[in-house]
Amino acid sequence: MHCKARGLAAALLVCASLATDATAQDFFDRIRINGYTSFEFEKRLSEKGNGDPNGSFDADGFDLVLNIHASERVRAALDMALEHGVATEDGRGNVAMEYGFVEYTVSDLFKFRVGKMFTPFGVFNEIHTAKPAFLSVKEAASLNKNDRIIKGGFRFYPRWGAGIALHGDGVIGKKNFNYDVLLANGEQENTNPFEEDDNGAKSVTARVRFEPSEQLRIGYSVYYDSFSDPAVGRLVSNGLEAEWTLGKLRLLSELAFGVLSPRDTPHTRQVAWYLQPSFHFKNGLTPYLRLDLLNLSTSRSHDVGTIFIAGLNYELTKQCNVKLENNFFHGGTATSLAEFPGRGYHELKAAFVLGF
Amino acid sequence: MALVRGIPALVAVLAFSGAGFGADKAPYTVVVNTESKLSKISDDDLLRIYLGKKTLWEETGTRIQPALLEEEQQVAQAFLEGAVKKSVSQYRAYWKRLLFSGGGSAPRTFRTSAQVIDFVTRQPGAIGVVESSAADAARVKVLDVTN
Repeated sequence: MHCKARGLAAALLVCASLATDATAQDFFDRIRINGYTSFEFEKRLSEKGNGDPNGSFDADGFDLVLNIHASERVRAALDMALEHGVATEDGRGNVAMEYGFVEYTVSDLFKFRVGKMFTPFGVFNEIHTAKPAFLSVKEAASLNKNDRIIKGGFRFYPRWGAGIALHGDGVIGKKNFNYDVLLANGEQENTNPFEEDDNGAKSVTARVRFEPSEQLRIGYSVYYDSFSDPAVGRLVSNGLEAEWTLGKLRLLSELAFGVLSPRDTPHTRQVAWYLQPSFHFKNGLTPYLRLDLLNLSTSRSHDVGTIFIAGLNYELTKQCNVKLENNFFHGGTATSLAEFPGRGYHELKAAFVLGF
Repeated sequence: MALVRGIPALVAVLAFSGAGFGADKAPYTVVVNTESKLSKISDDDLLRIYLGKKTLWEETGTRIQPALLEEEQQVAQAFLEGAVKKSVSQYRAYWKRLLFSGGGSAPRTFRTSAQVIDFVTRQPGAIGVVESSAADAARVKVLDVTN
């Protein structure tokens, strides 16, 4: 009797462990954990300028990226960012939900998303601070963070939006295309835009990308927002993007033009673009150049700012990259850089990045 | 004279054996779960699956879960360059951009073909790329890849 009980207990234990194994395997098949981190160094090389004069180390960020497949058609996606050695007790750094949304797949052509998302405009905004996903130390500033070049411009679009989105991938005549549409609260400063909208109308972002060949991808983005604040008025931005890969040579370029139309004052037409050629050597070394340009207003003179970047990206392992580049900032006589000798300055930037 | 006459025949035999023994045969095989109703897959669909553009088996409404061998392995490299039309570094860069911008996770990678087959056996929506010599028809279904 004692023997039978022991046998039964052992059998139950084996069954339980098998069930746990199967459940655990299914659980881990449904969840993917990824992330990235970057450590940076910046030092201004010129005697005067906006950059860092002392040379600073920056524990730039650590992001955890989760993809959870709650069912066959439902995916939850989350990017939690811990930036600049965050320590809330001392009011240092930043914790942020970069995105957190739920996606329901009707088909590959119709995927609905709800939550907080990156605004799907152009190339760099959705890549955001994911340094393993691009060559340079920082994302292209002209379209994304243009105040890094010269002060006084406006953002072509807010970086995030809380709302409803539609994403799809399809094929036309054997050529791939994809699209995104986002209806969101839009930009605002008085309320949390991810909780409450203080505008009478919602913002709309749309983007379509098309691949005419395996080497070329082109895209068009548009952002529209109408603000309740008459001093801001209406913002309409259009963007074009192209990426051309020819063997080891890659060209990436974007152009954006935005019109900000306050109700009682004349509108401002702002233009920005960048061009980035790069060449990937077999040993993992990729030299790159990038020219970023921002024209604050097409109706004013001498208000153009540029950054010219010459850099090297080295792939240490398939997860780790080292980057080193010189940034040369330069501006017209009517820009915030006019006060510096030669109307510009040089800054060295370096980064060690890991993506997993 | 007989020797000269025999040369074209010898050339023909050699050419035939070259084709027969897989001069153009891919070193990899595409497999799916035995519950799958598929018997073949187009090379376009295969490419779209491994680039995250096709994520649902429309016939069954099952999520596609692609898997392959780790990129360092020659079979994986042959598959990426042949079927996905990207070098390993291009494929890796492509998925880093998609993953970190919220577009979904990259195909799972495994060290051995046996591990890929285990995964495909476990998940009804899975599709895997394994060494041709390792495709176990008793556990998974082998797909023909069509143009």
